[in-house]
Amino acid sequence: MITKQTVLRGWNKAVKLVLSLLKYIIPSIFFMKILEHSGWLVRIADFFAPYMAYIGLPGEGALVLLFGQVTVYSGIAAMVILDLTAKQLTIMSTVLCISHVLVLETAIVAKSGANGLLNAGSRVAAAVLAGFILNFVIPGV
Amino acid sequence: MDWSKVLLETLSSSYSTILRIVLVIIPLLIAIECLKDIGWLEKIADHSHSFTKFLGLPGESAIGLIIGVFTGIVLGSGVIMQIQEDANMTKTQINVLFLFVGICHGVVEETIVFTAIGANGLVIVGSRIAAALLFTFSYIWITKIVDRHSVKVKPGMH
Repeated sequence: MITKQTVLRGWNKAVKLVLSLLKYIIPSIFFMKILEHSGWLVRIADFFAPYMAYIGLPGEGALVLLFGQVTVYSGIAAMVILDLTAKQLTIMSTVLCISHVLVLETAIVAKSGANGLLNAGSRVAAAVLAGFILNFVIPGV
Repeated sequence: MDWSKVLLETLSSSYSTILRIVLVIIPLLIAIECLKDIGWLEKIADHSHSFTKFLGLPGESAIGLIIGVFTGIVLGSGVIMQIQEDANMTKTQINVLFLFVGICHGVVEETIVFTAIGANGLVIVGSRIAAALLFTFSYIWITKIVDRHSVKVKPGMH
């Protein structure tokens, strides 16, 4: 049964989520902008570029995956700063969706009785594999 | 470094990013609450027993799988923890369940938010499901081979 309470509950959850997003999105963007204007973004990108090229992403993508370990939204914030093509955006999103907040989520999974190493390892492998295949499958640059 | 530029760009980028997310997240979360109150998660779970069987899992685990896949790992693991005692799941079955949920969780919220910033949501969901199936089946397959091997080897060793 849908009542006024249902909508109100959804609204409250959304407001809470948005407020918590501010805490992650603004610092992430601020940090990315500092890296960009200090010239460190280019240096980091150059370092990771050969590895990230395997999954069709620019070197800066490594930072997105790193930021994504705090929350998914930190990763998103880092991602919007970069000039990504439509193809890169989809690959980056898929990789980030599969492999994010690994430390915390693996701790939860391990506490629930599953093998944490197997779980985290498979997620990283799945993310790399998905990026690798999508890079071939999706047309364009 | 030009700090005023850094601050200004941070503000404008944060504003546009948050606005894009807010515009999808508020209606989305309200819609999810409505669907929850209709009992859609239970309904989907009732219809996914053949899928859990396909993964070699007990039928009771369907609700844990569905909640994990649709909402997220935190809520999902809470439900799965309750189920695994009732359903008497083996270590392998728990690993299979969490492998699937680990790769493919929170699909509603994450897919819609990523679509809002310009990614192809269909590709994201499709890839995650494919990757989850590939890795769960590889794990099931490897465990089977290891089990068969250990059964065969033991009598021969004496």
